[in-house]
Amino acid sequence: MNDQAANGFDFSIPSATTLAPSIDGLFYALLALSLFATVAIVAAIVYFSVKYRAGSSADRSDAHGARLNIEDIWIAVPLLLFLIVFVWSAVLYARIFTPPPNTTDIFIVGKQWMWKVQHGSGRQEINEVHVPLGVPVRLVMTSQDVIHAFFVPAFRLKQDVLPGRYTALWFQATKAGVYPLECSEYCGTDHARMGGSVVVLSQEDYERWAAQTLPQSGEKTHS
Amino acid sequence: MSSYLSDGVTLRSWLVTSDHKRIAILFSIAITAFFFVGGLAATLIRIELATPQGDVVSADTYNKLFTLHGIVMVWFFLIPSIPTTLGNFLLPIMIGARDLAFPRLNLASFYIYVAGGIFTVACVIAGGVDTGWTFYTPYSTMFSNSYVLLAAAGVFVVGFSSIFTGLNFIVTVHTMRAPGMKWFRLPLFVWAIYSTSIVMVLATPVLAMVLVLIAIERIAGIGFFDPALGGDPILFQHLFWFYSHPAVYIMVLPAMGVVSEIITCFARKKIFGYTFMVYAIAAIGVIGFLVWGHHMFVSGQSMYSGLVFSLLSFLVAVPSAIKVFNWTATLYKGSISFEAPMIYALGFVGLFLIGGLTGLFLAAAAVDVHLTQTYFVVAHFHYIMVGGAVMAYLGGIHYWWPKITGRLYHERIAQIAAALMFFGFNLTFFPQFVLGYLGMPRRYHEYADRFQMLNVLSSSGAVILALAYVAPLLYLTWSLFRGERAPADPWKAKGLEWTIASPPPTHNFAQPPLVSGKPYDYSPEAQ
Repeated sequence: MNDQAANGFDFSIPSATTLAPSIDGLFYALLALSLFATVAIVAAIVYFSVKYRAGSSADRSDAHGARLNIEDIWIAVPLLLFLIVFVWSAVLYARIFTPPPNTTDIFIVGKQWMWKVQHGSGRQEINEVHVPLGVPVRLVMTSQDVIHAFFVPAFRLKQDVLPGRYTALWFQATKAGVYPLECSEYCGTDHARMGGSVVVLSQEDYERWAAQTLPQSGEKTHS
Repeated sequence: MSSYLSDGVTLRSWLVTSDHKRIAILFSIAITAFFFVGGLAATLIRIELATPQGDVVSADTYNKLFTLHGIVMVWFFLIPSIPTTLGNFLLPIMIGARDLAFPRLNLASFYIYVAGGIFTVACVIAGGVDTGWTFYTPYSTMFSNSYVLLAAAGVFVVGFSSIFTGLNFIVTVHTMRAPGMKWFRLPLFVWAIYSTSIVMVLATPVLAMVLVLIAIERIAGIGFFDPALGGDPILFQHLFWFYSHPAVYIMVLPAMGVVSEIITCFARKKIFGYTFMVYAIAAIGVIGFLVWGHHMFVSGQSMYSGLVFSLLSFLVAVPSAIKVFNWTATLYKGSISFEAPMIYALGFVGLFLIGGLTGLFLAAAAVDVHLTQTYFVVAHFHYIMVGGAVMAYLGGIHYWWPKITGRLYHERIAQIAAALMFFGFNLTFFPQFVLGYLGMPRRYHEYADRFQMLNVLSSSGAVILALAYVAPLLYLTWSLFRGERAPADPWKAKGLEWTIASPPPTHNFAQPPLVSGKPYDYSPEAQ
């Protein structure tokens, strides 16, 4: 972590899955739309406030006159824009929730206040999730007690993890690295400490890592 | 002629009054007390979050603080705020009635509120509750070791206050309008309170029901929500948000009503598009019931439900957008002055605009997957509920203060406080949008070092905001005893409430007023 980050000035967030840039794209489109709307409306309010301030000599004739169905326009335009954004978002949302076939599955159990992880190879770990780069990975998750949520900001993904049933989250990582993992559904005393990291390894490194099934120091798990 | 204030001066005459105006005063004292309780909890939260380490209070205390803050602010301040104070005081007067339809039910509503408040205070004294204001199961039913039942009892009880008040308002608007006060001559404030009342009466019973189910599961172990007992935790979320999303509209519709009254008065112009404003209020009330699932895009509900709720959430944004455009258009060719209520109202428009636009980010399900459960959501709903509803509430308090108390406050100080509030609010909550996008989850007692700068900005904004909230308490209290006497119509405003004395006589109108036209008969003039 660099000095800026240590000082709390780091306003960047990595983007490390195939879908993350698309989600950011929609985010920034909404930001642009919002900035435009804010500037336009605030500018109108300020302009009217100055021009039509009490005591100004601006023309007020026909102040209550008819206005060319302007209200129809400002119902239709936002409605159209909202529907466009909805469709854009809906397509992405469906992609987020539809894993491709042949995913590498990793099994995760949340409990107050830790994540237990089991790989297909049998290797287990706690609060760290090693995943392979460049292939679709599916996390199959459940909880042993209350609701938790598995949240990886760098992936722009989160999914509630429920007791009594499985939920799943899929992604395809695009950059090797270590990314913060948070529990984002409030789960009691140490909710803020229930986290860890997702470690993206190249496929070969992941397979080598997963094959080392002997528990190493600091990775002891329950029986 | 004696006013409602001088008609009986004993404590008893206040505590057993059935005068809607006095009950409004009782409510305003009670909700102000709870506002500062909730505000104190928020202050401690912002002090804790000034540093990344959890070093001021323990994790459990922190969890109890944000739960207390949420429960108190939502149910004991925001939901009753405008309806029980300004609504209670003004609704009968605005429609030309002498009181509400059921004056004693109105008093009962106040004491039920107090009883709910006692449960909540008892919960805090007993040791507090740590479930978050959302009471998510199975944490709240089977895992929390805090005083969940006391807290739930408080919320359950106060809900009946909402229902009674709503019922009272609905019947009053239907049956007690003065001669000539047709539906489309009603002030927008009345329309807003009327719609809010319908939402209160329809939604609150669902909350009461879900709280009872929590109590049964917690006490008797009968499984409604905990899968270990055969229940479904998502069912809880559906029931909870079926109430709690419309609850947002219970908070913001009255605020929209207040702002409509203020902007038209200080722009000296008829409200732009009165009919559209009425339909927009109604549309928000109706569609607001159909969007609850947007709180649950990552909860495990089906993807198709998510898509439908996303679409409906975009649709509910349309009437809100219409209202913002119409307020702006009302300024066009007006004759605008900037007394304190107008600063609050324009501040509301700005903050509601940002709150509404960021709502689009959350309605977009794909983006919500990243942003939900983070500080982005915290910032968004504070823009609506604090930036919006509280600014409007204070704007309304200032606008009708001369009518309610018969006194004037110090205009310049009030203007400065309003501007300070706008600035402090933005400094507190804008950085939280960035924090959320960067991935800081909400309800975190500790956080990563890289988030500190934005949290320090937010906490410093909270200092300014706190000062801006204390200021009106001081100068308005001063005005109550020392302020200059107010005339009947200090703002040269239109509307029946300004045709009677300040403060109003006990029975409001000596003769039922005759209404002969549309509201807001203002005409701007150049000089």
